[in-house]
Amino acid sequence: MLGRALNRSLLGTRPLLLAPRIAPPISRSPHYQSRYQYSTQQPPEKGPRDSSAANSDPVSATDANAPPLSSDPTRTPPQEPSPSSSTPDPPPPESQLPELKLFLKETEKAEKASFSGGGGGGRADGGGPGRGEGLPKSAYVSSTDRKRERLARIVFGSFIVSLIGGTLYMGRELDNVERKYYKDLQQGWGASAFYARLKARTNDLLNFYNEPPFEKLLPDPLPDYSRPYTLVISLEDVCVHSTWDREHGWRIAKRPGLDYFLAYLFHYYEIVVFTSQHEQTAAPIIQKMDQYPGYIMFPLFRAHTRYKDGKYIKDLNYLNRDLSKVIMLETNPDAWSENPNNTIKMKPWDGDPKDKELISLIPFLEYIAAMGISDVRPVIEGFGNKHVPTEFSRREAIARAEHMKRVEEQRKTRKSTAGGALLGVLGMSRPSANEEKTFMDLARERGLQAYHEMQKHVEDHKEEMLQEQKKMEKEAAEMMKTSLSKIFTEGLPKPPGAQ
Amino acid sequence: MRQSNLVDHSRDPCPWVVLSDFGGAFAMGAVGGAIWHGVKGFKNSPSGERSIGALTSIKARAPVLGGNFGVWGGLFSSFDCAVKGVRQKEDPYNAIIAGFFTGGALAVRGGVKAARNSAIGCACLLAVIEGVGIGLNRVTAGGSRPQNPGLPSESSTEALPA
Repeated sequence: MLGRALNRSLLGTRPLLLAPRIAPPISRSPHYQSRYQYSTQQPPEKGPRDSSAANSDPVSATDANAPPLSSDPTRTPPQEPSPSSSTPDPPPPESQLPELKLFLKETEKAEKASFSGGGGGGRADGGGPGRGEGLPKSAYVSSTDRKRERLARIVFGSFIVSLIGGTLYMGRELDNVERKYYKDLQQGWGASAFYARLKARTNDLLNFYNEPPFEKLLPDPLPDYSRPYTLVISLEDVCVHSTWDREHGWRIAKRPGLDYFLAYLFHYYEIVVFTSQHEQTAAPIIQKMDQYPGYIMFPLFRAHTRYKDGKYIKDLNYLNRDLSKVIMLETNPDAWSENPNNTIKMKPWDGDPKDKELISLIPFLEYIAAMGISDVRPVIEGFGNKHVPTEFSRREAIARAEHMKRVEEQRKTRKSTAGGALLGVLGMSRPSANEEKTFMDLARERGLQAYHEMQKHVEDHKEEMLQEQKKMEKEAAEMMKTSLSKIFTEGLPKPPGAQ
Repeated sequence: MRQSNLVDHSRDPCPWVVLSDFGGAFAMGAVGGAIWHGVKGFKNSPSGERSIGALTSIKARAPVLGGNFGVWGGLFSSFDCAVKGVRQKEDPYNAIIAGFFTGGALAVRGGVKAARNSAIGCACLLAVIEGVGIGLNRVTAGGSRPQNPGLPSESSTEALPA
């Protein structure tokens, strides 16, 4: 219905094209100024057209095309002669327009067809009801839509072109430098050779983002920091456990015995924390966990992991340490997948405050370091899937029993000899306490002594250490500041490892 | 809770993050809208009524923009959580898929075609954002190289008094 009215008013304007020619020029009209100073009406050239359209087409005159002059009678002088009434040549009535009649009939037909046959189908594509068959489809698309479609087509086209171009470029023939690097790739434009080159280059491009950022994650070991073994510990669910609840948000619990664990093993191991969390999340936790004197040598974060198939792998091959001397404590199978034989596989700590896992791991780790095991991998592999602390204490108990047997035997043989008897007379027959101790017991004594000395040292020099730490932080902040201003004056600074 | 291994502590865990994302996006839109429509209202008012025009414009339009932002953020976050729940993975594709659904859902009243276009556009936008994020991470990771501590470097010996 609306469509028909639209069609009529559209057609209605056709004979009216004559009207302005006869009407006096608007700008020269004496009423132009006075009328448009106060009113916000449409420009005057609409006036004659619309009112004459109303004359010719009574249907449309009843709705939208009311003459604007009549809408505000107070501001327009009543004696003003309507330009349309003075038009000497009124447009011919509808009956004299064969074209119009034909058009209306066709419109009606189309409307009927779309309502009865196609149902809503005719309208769903945005044409609206009453689409005329006489005009091409494109006449009903607004210029904004046309522009938008054109832009979309250009964007899509350039996307396709760049995709094809990029594919061709990535699969291009190898140049001289690349030929040395990709030794097993072939030249030529065969499909398989092309695909192989494309794949190799794409992988290389992506690997830049997936591999750790350096070939060597840690700096070369310091000669005077003589700890032959490296202990790589995971952060989450090994050292700490994070929980969230609605009242408190995130809270992080430190595992029982962590301080002792770090301080004790500090004498045997170079301790590295390797976490798959982002640096901004994990760095403050590590800072808080290990405030002074800093038992953790290096922290490594997600950026240092290798990303593969949606998993973050802690690849120890990049660690720049001898893998026969590296032990990793880890809970996540994805993370250890590259170095299972270096890993003591732990159950995730669920935040239980009575947990003793870290403490119970100390004897085994101490054993490795004190015995100077040349390759830790077969030792760790030997434990299989057993719980390492339990299994180790079982083995240690067996070893201790054997040791005690040996001591007993020695005692017997000593008693039987003359020297032994003499010693017995001198009051030295009782086996000294040291004799009953295994090698590991002695090592533990030394370890504990070192631990206590260290603790005493820390306690004595706590203030100095804190002062020094603060000073270093301040210096680092100063350096940040100067480097910011340097960026503008001297350009970007070189990365620290670039020299 | 294996998931806790990789979570970002600056955000709440899943069902709750929808609420905070909605609120955050609303606040962002409202503040940004206040600036934008404040300037616009100021500019478009006749002189002498500029401040009142700016205020009227802010009051009328800034909450609307905030609401639009909030709806986007809340929908995106809901879809993100849903995608995470289904895929059980944490990677950039979560955000891209969630963006696809968000764009589609917001344009669904415009018909199938409009929804499709909006979904693809939104997914592309998020793919670009995620890509830029990965690139930035890679660039910053290059700078955070662990250093041997404690060794006297050239600069510190220079600073010592002679």
